[in-house]
Amino acid sequence: MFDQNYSWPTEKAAVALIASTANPLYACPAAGATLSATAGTQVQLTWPDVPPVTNYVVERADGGCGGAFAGIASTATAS
Amino acid sequence: MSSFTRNVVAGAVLLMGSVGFTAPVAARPAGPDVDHDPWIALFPGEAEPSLHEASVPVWDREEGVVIAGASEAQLDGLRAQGFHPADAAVAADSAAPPALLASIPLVQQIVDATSQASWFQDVRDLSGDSDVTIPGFCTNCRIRTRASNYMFPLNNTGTPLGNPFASEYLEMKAAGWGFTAPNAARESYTSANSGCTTRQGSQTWQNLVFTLPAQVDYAQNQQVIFIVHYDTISESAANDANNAPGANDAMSGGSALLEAMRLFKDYAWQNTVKFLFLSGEEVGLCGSTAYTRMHPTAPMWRVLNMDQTAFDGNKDGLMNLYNWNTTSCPSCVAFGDAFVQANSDYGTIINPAKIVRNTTKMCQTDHCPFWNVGVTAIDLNEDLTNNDLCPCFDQFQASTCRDTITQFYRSPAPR
Repeated sequence: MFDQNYSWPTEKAAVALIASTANPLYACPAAGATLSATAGTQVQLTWPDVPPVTNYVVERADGGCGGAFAGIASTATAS
Repeated sequence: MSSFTRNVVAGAVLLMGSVGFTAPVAARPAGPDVDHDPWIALFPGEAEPSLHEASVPVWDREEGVVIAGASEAQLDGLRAQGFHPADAAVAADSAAPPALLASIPLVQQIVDATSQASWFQDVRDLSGDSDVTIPGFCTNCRIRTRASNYMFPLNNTGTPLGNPFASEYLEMKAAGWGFTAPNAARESYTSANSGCTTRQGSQTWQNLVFTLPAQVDYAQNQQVIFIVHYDTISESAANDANNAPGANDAMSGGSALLEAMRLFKDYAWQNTVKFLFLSGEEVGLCGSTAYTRMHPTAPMWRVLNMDQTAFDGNKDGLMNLYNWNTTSCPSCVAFGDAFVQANSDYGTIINPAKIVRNTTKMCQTDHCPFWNVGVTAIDLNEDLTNNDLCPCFDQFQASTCRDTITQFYRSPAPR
């Protein structure tokens, strides 16, 4: 019969292989948790400090965290 | 798995021996055998079969040279066979494991977050064992078939209600995880693309392609491709319309893709990951063949095919890794090594002794068209090597014997 306890380790190991081959760079931050924006003729982004980070690179991508990001600004302060 | 060549599988028995390795290096679980401290060792290329037999993980290959991580005991055994590593290249490894051996914390995080319950529910949903609701298509319906002849427009008429909506179900799940156009696509193909002139005829079938774009590999030139066939067949064309559940073949393996999609969406990746749900496998590897013909092969860096993985009739726990051989596809063998290594790195998920590496060119499932165009691919299956495969799948089904999660075997006759 369908033996899920026999099958599951194969699935889990397959996920491990794909993940280790594709190589995760970082976990995406929870959406909307730290960033706020004020729209006008310009968009002002603010976020809380994240110690011990000393410099922030603002990147933009279409398609969410999985998108192709490109840097648009760099700053030492959280805005 | 396509069953039209089932007997070929049964006859292709080649047991390469089990491969196991648990290295107590940094950032990975300690193994039980302290003698497994690996050394970085270079061997001549012809030593590779012996390295596999000795369960020595192969890390990399250069021209004529194999880079492997052997324990002291394994080195002694290899020397006894006449294989001597280049002395200058042997170095104690315990204090400074090479990058190739280091487990990746984020991967461990992902592996730890996988859920057997989530995976099993996906299998149930896609094999008609539980009700599903697909907005715009059906409410509390059951997916009782995934036959290619019934899944795609104009044939997926919804009679019986909800029956043929596996594609829509997958798209719904994917959309919930953020896979939307252009990163969710249906790719139509005809027999002109697939070569399936007889079995596909004039119908247009579709593959589902979900893409997780990369942060580094922007141009998608180095794709990691996770594939499964999601089509099914039954014992007759008539029953294909309602009775082709395909729980084991191949949603057991295929739901691993869903589990990966569920988790991977929360990470940024170096390499592009593509999740392919292929159709037409059961009648001649049509979807996978079409895919390899409709896309440039150069960016297809690594392919992992999942097929039926849930039947273990003799309860020996063996599963199969098909990675062809070092002569025909050394990169496939290396990717097979990577599977063994990842299995050990992230918690010894499968008992390494239960991994049967098969070096035949098994072409009964969807990795084979990738092999045929020179792409590095491997396949995971239940133990086909020893013919321990589900007796109740594809055309071997009957009214009392369906490939569901509950009814593999024929029901006993009423008394």
